[in-house]
Amino acid sequence: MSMVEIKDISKTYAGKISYEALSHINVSIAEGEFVGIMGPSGSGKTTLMNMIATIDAPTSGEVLIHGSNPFHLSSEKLAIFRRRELGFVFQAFNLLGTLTVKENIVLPLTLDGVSVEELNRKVEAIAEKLGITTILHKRTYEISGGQAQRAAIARAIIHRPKLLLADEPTGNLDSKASRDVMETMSKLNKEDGTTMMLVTHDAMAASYCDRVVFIKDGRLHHEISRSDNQHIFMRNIMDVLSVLGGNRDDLFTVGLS
Amino acid sequence: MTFSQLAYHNIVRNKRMYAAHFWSSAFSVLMFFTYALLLFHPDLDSELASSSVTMSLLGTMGLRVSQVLLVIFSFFFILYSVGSFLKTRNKEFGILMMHGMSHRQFRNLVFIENMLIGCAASMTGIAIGLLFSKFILAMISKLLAIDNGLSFYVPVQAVVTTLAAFLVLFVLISLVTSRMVRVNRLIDLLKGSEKPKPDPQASVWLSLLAILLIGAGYMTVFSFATGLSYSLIVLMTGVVLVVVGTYFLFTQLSVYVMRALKRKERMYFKKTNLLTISELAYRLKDNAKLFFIVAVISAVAFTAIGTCTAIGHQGLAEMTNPYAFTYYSYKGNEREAEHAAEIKKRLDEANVSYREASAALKYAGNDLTFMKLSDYNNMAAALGYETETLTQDNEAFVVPTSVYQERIYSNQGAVDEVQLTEGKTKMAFQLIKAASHQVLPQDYGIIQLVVVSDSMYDKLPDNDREGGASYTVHGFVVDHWEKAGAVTDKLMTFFYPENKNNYEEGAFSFVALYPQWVMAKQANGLLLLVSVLIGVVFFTFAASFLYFRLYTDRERDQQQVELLSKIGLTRKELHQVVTRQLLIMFFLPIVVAVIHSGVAFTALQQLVHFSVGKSTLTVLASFFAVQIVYFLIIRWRYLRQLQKAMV
Ligand SMILES: Nc1ncnc2c1ncn2[C@@H]1O[C@H](COP(=O)(O)OP(=O)(O)OP(=O)(O)O)[C@@H](O)[C@H]1O
Ligand SMILES: [Mg+2]
Repeated sequence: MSMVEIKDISKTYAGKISYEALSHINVSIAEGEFVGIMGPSGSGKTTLMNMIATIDAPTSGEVLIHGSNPFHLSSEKLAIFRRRELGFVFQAFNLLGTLTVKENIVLPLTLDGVSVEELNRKVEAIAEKLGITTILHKRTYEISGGQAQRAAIARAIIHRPKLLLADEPTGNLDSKASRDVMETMSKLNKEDGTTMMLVTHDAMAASYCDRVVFIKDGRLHHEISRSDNQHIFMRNIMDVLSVLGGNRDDLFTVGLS
Repeated sequence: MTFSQLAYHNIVRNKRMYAAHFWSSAFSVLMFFTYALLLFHPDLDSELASSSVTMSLLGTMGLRVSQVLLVIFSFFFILYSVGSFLKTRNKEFGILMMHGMSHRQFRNLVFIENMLIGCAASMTGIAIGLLFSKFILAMISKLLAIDNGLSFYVPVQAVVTTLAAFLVLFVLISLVTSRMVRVNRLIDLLKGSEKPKPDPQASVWLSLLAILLIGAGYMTVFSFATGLSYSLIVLMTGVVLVVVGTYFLFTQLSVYVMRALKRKERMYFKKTNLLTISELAYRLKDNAKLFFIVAVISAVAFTAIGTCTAIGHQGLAEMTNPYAFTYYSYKGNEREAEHAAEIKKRLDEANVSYREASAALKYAGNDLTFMKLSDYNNMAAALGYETETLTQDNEAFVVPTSVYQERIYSNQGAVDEVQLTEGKTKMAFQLIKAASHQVLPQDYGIIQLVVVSDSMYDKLPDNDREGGASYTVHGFVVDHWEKAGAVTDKLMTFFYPENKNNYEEGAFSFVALYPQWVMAKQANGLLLLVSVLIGVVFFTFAASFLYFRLYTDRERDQQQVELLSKIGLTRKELHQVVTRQLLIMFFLPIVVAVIHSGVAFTALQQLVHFSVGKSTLTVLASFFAVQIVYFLIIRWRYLRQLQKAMV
């Protein structure tokens, strides 16, 4: 059974001028799969992620996770689902200003009532992997954008979720740090079998995926799967991107990496 | 980090945001504690009772009622401010829920946070109260004219009551507020605080309506007061008109004025006016409802307090008994001479110098009470007034027996003639004047007091009966009677050995000024204590709320200041802009309230014959003083925050 089943969803933002951000999207993601989502800015990637992450509800269609619609769960069960099975990296980090980096990272564990020893052990390990051990005790306004991004990633994976949704987790990182983050995620995917969705503008990051889905103007545009070679995959992705258009920034990033 | 640590961090690391909320809560605890300190004071009852039973009842009742009021008041204000705290934290809650916080956990979080603040505020309030309890008691015993002072005691009961009351209050608030955040979709929470503010809009018609409604309201109140339409419904209509008008004044007219100012380019683009006005437009719109509430409640409070103190004062101002001691002797009293001698003896013993005068009053019918010229002159001499002469037997003059009459006589003079037609007697007197002072203790039982020559007096019939009485008054003038507390006590126990507070009906009665004065002072003090403390708490909450509003906007403000300082805004100009803005925010509602209550007072003045102005001014001045202090503190803190952003 597929882990995530996106069934014909559309999303229209109501307002003075209502705007259809997503239109009849169908995607199915198997358990343990690592799927990338790419598309020009404003194409509806974040909107799609929000639908899957139970942050927002689609105007029509539904998202099934493990074959059931999370919005049909009781609020208590939905909370438990978010806490144990879901990891989410926000495009804007969304770290809590009143907490230190470490406290932000352990949030899902705290809410789940995990013991302090276990909690400390997990933080140490994950901080080591992401290279943020030295900033653990700083407050969020004292760290750089890249550090904040890594803290947000750490928070999304510390509880080893079954489904990890990441909205541009490498947007603020240099290529070395990007690679580290992608390696970490890839490892998590391989070792734990975590199902992952990754929104990115970066072909290098996308090349870690098993499959990349392209959307444009809220519609599914294209889809390519990875062959054996990561480099070839990256070339293919870049080819599609150049057809797709998008802004200069995208091409620029691609060119660099 | 455990779950409760999460709550703790939320507060401690956000302490500036919570500071005003915390201190105003602590302050209301302190006020409650002050009342409790008094209410449970072992001596208060007996000290007040020594002056009067009603006074001690008024005391305990007044204190209880104000405690209840205070708690209700605190409840709504804390609820309101916690509610708006929560709204500004929508995004934070959204993030927490995204990471799996359940509704139950969310409610727990809010509950724990509120209880932490509530407990801390209660403890702080009580601690400060305990620390200053000696001082507080000293102040209050002075205010309440308690001779022996209120001794210091360990107020276990007061502490327990205060703790219990506020714990219950904070538990209730925690329960209510934790259910206030409705979560339908996380996206609403996550986007929640980011919504940009729309340009403040105001309608011309509603602004005009505000002026019309308030004007109409004022007119209606006046027409009630001047007796054009004497019905409570009219008064109520007037009040409602003014209240609705005030609502539009703050929500529409004030914003409209700002917009109109913006259009006056020569003025708008002059120096810092641009900043002041464009910011004010937002702030006035944002806080319109708060300003409305503050203005209306203050107006009601000012009017009520002013009226209360005036009435409390009335006892003092109108207590126009010029005699420190008065002895009344009625028909059939055999001990008159003995008693008069006794009073003199006691006064001599106590080394109190006095001047004595007595007068016999005769009620002759037709609402006329007569007095001999010689008696009048004796009394006038004792009181230090001029004596009078009557040249003919049919001449007479009237003497006022109340402040009210005094004013009427001095305004319109007395009628030319009085006629007495009682049974067979028919007599007429030519009134040559009206005396300007009262010579008898105020007595509403005397309708008209007429002084005639001694020979005519003896010819007058005596019609002592219901509706009028004949009796003799012995008055003792003592210059510094307020220091004659001791001898007063002795005399009271002499005349009323069983119950010195019981002026029972009998052949004589004895009245001393001293206890009446103390009573009036205490009544006045209690009213003032009760109303002013509650008023101060109200202003504290309102100010803390404004601070909170400023604080939640601080990021936007700081960014703006940073930008402006980059393009050359000086420190002095920043001060100017901020001061002007805050001045309007702090004083506009109060000025409106003062105008409203001013109108109410002028209307009230038409209804009563004592002055309500003076006592009210004191009250208003003290509230203004409090508000100025808050203005200064908050301006200081706000400026400090903004200056951090200056480059
Ligand atoms: N709350 C909203 N109300 C109205 N329109 C919205 C809202 N959120 C997003 N949109 C619109 O929907 C479209 C898709 O937005 P979305 O955030 O999904 O883009 P994106 O693909 O994530 O872009 P980016 O790569 O820049 O992050 C955009 O055109 C945006 O303007
Ligand atoms: Mg996006």
